[in-house]
Amino acid sequence: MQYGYDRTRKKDLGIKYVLYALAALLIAFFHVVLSNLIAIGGITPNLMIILVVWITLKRGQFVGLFAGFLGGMIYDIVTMDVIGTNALSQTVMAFLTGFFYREGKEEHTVKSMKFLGILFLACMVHNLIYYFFYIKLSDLSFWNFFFKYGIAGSLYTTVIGIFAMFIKIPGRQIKI
Amino acid sequence: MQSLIDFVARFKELITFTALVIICLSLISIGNVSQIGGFRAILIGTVGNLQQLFSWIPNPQALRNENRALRELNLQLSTEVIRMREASVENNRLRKMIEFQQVATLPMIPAQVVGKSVVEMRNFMTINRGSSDSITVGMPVRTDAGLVGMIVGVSSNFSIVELITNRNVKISSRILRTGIDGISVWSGGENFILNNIPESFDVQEGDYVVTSDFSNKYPTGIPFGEIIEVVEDPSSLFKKIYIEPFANISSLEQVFVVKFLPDPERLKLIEQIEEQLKLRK
Repeated sequence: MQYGYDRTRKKDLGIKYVLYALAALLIAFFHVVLSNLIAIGGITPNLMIILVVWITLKRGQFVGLFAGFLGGMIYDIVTMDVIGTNALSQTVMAFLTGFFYREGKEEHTVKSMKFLGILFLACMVHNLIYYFFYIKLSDLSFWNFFFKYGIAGSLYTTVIGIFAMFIKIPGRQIKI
Repeated sequence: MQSLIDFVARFKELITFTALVIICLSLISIGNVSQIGGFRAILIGTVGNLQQLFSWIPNPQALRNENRALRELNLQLSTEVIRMREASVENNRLRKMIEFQQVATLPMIPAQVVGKSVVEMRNFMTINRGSSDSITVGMPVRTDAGLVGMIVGVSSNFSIVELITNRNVKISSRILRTGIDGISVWSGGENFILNNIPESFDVQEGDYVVTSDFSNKYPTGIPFGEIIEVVEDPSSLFKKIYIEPFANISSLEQVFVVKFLPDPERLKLIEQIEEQLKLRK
């Protein structure tokens, strides 16, 4: 009986991870092909950050670390950025976001205003690290650039993050 | 052994985090994805096809910008036409007089913009011409107004253009009226900054800026922008000059790829010197 339950549990968990991977690919596709349509003053929301923060708050720090790393890698590859920059900033972001994970209160965290607060902080951490590598060896002023694009980008991502509060994946609630 | 397993289980998050950060830093130190040649061509082709598939979706903001830019351009051109006609007649007469050889213009390939990507402030666009149209990496891209970027990746039917509004771009520029040369860099907004022009040099608002022949990337004389502000800082020996580019980057639809490639011998020499300087460091 227990064996049967474990198999179903693993299968459900596997399906959820496949859904996360599909969501990441869909977001990457959207960002490269359609993001221009929702750009405001050249600033686009970073949907991958929303997904990584959401996964981290739902599944914990350990899973979040892999989500951040793989999500960042996908971004680096499709955007032809220097490979590792988005992966690094999203891994660090997921690690810090993981400290807000509360076992048994996952649903409450991602469906409350707390989620938006965490998302904004995560965006700021991501942008801080990402723009450090972006500005490196250029003549641009880091703080000017960060205040101009980093904060605006974080706010835009947080606003779009409101939609993530209403996401519900059907199936049993599974804890790792 | 058991204690090691317990240790790993206890600190698995921290260990994983450290390992992933090391992997990321190693990847960053390796460099750009452009080194993965074939993979990049496949990616460009796929992205280009996808962007073309969705290019029918109208972008009202871009259309508004384009409309405004075209009206302004129309106004400028109508006044320029009269002036140019007079200048052309005078020029032809003078050329004949001194038997000046007609300067051959570089061939250009017209292309349609099928997609734009604004990702983490890295501005790219995809055009519907590729290696089958003899486009190669390194060719400059312009509009009728001026310089817009450079080809950074090609597949058989599509190319990726890195726009000039990018932190990597440095444009060797010349002020047309006085012939003063300098390096223009993106200011992070809509304009560019021309650096290292000494205080004593004659620079005025309204001066036109073109690409200079010191450039190892762009051909000489491509219109680039107009000086909109000259800031004189008493604490500095140099002026800070702001340039507004002629090309409206936010509303590009049709562009031209200039069939120009920098002299490989010149590039090789520059690379050799850069390598030597790196080794000295």
